[in-house]
Amino acid sequence: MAVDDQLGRPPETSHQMGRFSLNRIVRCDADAAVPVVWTNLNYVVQIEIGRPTWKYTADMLHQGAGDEITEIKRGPRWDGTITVLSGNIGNVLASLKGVTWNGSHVVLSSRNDSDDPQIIWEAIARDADNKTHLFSLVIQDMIIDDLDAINPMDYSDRTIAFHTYHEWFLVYTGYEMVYDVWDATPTTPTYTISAGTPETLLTATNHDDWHYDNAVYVKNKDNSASDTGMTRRIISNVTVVGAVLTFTTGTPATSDKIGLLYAKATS
Amino acid sequence: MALLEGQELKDIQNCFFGLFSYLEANTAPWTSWSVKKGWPDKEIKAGTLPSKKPILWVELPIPIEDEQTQQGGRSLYWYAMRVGVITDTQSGGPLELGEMISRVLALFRNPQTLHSDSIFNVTINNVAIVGTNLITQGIRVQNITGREIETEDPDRFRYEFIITLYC
Repeated sequence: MAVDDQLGRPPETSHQMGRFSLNRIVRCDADAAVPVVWTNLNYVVQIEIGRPTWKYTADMLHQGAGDEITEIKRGPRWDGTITVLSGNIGNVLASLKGVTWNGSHVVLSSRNDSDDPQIIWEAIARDADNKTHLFSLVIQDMIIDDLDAINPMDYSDRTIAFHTYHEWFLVYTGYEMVYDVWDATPTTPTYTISAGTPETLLTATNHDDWHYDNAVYVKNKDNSASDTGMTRRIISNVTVVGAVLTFTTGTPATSDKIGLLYAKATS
Repeated sequence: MALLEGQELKDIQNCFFGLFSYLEANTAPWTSWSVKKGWPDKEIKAGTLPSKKPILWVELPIPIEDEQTQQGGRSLYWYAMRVGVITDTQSGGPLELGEMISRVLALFRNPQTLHSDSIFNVTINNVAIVGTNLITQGIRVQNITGREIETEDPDRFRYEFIITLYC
């Protein structure tokens, strides 16, 4: 490295044009399916998510550290908005909420009564040929907020606010997310992963809120505990080895559901 | 094979000429049109064109922006490139012109068709490349706009597009 190093120009892929993006979702509470089929979203103008805010923060000083401060942060929350074409806000919202909105179910509620995770969102950024994968933005466990409304005179976009308590992340070129949901089988604590051996995502021990190198999360919907959504993350006594998810202890009960979010190479 | 530094303008023109020539040779109704590199002055002066076939011509791109990044001085370049179509009453008139305009617009509004895998041939940096596309050659099309151009001859009809691209 020298002060007169000459770098080449940025490659053409330095520009990622949102118009070539494909947005798709799965519902966290999807019926058992391996894999759960993604729903492509039309009418999306953009999706934006901010930096986290923290419920608790504290500056810690400790003996022997001089004036060096460690900031302790707990309880992150990310807020964001989905911008959609105004004439189709109802259609998008119905897809997000996983509800029917048509002649047999004509009202679409603006309220959100639950703080349970609702949606896994994958924004797939593609090259100018509209197909070559560049990278993906994944927002896990989105919760749609109560809606505001406006019916202005002129053309405008509409925004749908959401939040999540778990970090968004980027997925490398050539990989995509997979969401498997099984009905629990207490007598057989192993579950075959639909896409085979999951890809290595990161080193979980280096990152808060990550418990597996090769899975975003493992969840158990414990119906006996009256969970209303797939909300309980299983952070121990589970292994994801090869193409098999195994509960080593604490096997889920009958009527429970199990969810696994992971990545595979794009075929 | 990447665009040759110092030869980019010619290479970009060659790529688009290669794309349109492929369509001229293989895909109706492009097969009814004649593709030229640069304004078809020779044919116009000779009076042989566009009477025989409507012409689609591809001009040299014009550099319009040197996109600055803190990367040691090299940058992406943005270009505006003119693509024109001209016809006369003997080769279809305004109806044929409308068909040509629509086809060009449709091509550029469908990125998958525009960048179909490996369709045209081109010579870049004195190397013949068989079966390629714009993306493979490092060209990204941003948008296309167009306008009708008045002609002195009332029997002649002309339209020009400006294609904005970077590479």
